[in-house]
Amino acid sequence: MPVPPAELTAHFTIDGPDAARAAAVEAAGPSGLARHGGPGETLIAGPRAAVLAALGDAVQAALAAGAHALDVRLEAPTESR
Amino acid sequence: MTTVVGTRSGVGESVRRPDGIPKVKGEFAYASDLWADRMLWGSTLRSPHPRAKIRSIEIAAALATPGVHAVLTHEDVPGRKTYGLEIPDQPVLAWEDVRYQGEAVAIVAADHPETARAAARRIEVDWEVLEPLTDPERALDPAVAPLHPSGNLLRHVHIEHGDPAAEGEVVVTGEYEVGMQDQAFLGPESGLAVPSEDGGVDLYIATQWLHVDRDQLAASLDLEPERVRLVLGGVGGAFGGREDLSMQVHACLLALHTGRPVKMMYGREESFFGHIHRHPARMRYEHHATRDGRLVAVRARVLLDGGAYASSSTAVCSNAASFAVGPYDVPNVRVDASVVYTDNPPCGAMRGFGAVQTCFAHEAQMDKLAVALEMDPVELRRRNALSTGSILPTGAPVRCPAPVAELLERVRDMPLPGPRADGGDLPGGVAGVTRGEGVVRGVGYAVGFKNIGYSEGFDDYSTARVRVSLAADGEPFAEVHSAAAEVGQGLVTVQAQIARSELGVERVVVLPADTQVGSAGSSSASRQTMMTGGAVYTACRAVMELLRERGDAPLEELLRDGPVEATREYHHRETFPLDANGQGDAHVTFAFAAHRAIVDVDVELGLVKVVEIATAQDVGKAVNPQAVEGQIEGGIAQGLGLALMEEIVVVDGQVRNASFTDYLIPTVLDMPPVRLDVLELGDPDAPYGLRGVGEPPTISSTPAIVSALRAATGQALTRVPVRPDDLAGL
Repeated sequence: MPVPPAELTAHFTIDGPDAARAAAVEAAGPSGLARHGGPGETLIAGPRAAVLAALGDAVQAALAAGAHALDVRLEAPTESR
Repeated sequence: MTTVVGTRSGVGESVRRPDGIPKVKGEFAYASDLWADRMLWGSTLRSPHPRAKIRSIEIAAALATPGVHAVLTHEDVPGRKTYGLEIPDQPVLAWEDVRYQGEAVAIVAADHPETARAAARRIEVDWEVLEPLTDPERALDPAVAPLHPSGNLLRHVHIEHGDPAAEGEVVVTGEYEVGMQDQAFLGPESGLAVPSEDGGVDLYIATQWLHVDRDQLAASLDLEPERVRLVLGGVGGAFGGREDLSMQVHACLLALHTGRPVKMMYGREESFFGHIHRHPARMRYEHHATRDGRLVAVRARVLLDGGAYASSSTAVCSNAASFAVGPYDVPNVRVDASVVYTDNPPCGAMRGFGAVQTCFAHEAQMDKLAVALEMDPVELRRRNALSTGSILPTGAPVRCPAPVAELLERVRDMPLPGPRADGGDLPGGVAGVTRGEGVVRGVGYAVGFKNIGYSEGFDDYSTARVRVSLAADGEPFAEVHSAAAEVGQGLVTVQAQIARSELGVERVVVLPADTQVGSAGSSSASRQTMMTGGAVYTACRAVMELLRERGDAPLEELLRDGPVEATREYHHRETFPLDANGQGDAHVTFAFAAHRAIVDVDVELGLVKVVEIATAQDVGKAVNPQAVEGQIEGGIAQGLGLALMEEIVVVDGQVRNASFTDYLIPTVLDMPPVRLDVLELGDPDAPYGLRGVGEPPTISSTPAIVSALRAATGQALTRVPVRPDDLAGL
């Protein structure tokens, strides 16, 4: 693995209509960093600034589409990397 | 001052490996031999479909099977439900979608392995089978539904150097393909997870990188990393195939769920589905040169099939781009390398890591160019050879020794083997299909290079702890502790040799690798001799400093005041990411090798006998010359496999040859004599000048063999592995 792992990974789940989840995924997609992270969960992994920007887009889109709660977890690599 | 005298079995000596004789005698304890009292056996239910939706999973029948202790699905993963070396995009256990045949869906623990397998078969999955996306070109089509939210393009690396539109007087173009090669390590994935009293888990595992396994385990098990302890089990080969997790999380989940030790051990067929493979590649090249054979420009497009999940694909793509033009001075370069998601088996690290694919293509192009120029192919390569100070297509200078021209001259000047033998040495072997009629000899050359260690800004380091004390008999005694994985390459011996040389102590013990000491990085990228060797060297030097503070006396006297211990990290020089035009000082150092292949081909039957491989390789410093020879010969065998026989056949996303009956690897009957010349041009930035050995033999041996096949048959041979019908022109 001769390049570093993702500098930051954001996981998020959304409470609200399906349209809100879809809107969040659609908004994060163009970043190139979005993946499925579990049932109903999306993850965004990559450079810190890009992850935070894509996360912001996803949150905005989800709220605009009727989301009423979002759980977000951020992970940074541990010292072993 | 403490005196270090010449020590037996130190650096530069062919020290016998401690694992050698036990392996030959079948007495070596591999991870598959692990055992614990009250141990349960784990088994995995895998998707039979390359692409499908999971409507439901019914586990009741499996759970009711006598002897079964647990049946777990994605709902039982307490922490992160995905894992991955670079991007955590691969499900520990699939929840809604499966994206390749063999994806893990559920796991079972039972008191007997056959019970566990039978119970796994009783898990009922309601599938909605979908059409798989298996063509990497089609995966790039924006109209195709993506496998992942951000689309199917995993990474694109664009390199632009000089004037990418420059034209030469002579132009050759070509399209090339490399098939999906397997690491084909002999010891299938295996490990033993033991729940501990603190609620954590101890995992004894055959792996390449203990700490990154640990970090991924801790995330998915929702445990602090300190409560996940890993110890290296006996590893039966790796070649990149153990960099990703396989059964690690599954075994730990089952152990924590049942409160009992759980062993998991894949069979050969399951192993093909349990690890990543070498990326298949499609490449298009355009070489421009002057009439006197100077390269003017190279333009290349490389498309890698990453399969269903990311693994190391982004780094492999970067390497394929970095080494796309080969070890040549090329003033004008444009490379576009992409890696995409498909529903094919996931691909990742394998010996040579991106450089193998592009070396096959650029060396075929150099042969083609030599024909167009009516020039000797070695002379063409020599005339354009990289050297120290050359500027790479990434804009970075080559700082290390780069004896490309010398390596080529050495293999060219080695004596040629005698005339063709009869009988069993002819193509077809003991089958006796020819007495020599229709058999043509061919000679081919190739040269390649690759980065050593991690690149693109990765803070690459290894850690070693060295302790020196007096044994009961009063003799000095050293212990070396690191987390570096001995995967069969001879690293344990290297660590001991460096400690002996630096400490002047003959009695050295290398402790088992585990996570109780800092990370050593992975046993990959040909890096461990340089990185963990560097860490042991640095820790030994620190120990000697501490001893010197005790005075000037023989070691035995200094140690009467007690043991001395030091833990040190070794970091290589800083590297930097590539920018949008693929420019940057991304790699720390390089290793080079050249090969000459002699083949006999039965041109009517398409059968091949590789008569001899001659090679010259610069290794920096041969710490253990015999081990260096072993690495080079083993790497050539793997390169021969890719040239002639090794390919995972995937049709519509389904693997058709998941066995060593149908996936052929070279045996002793296929392996020719190797004529070997090792150069030791040390890297000025590394202890002893250490660089790496493991990968270069695999990189340019394949194109050398195919070059020889072309010379014998006159066929274009643009794809590896080469099949008999390709050689016979059918």
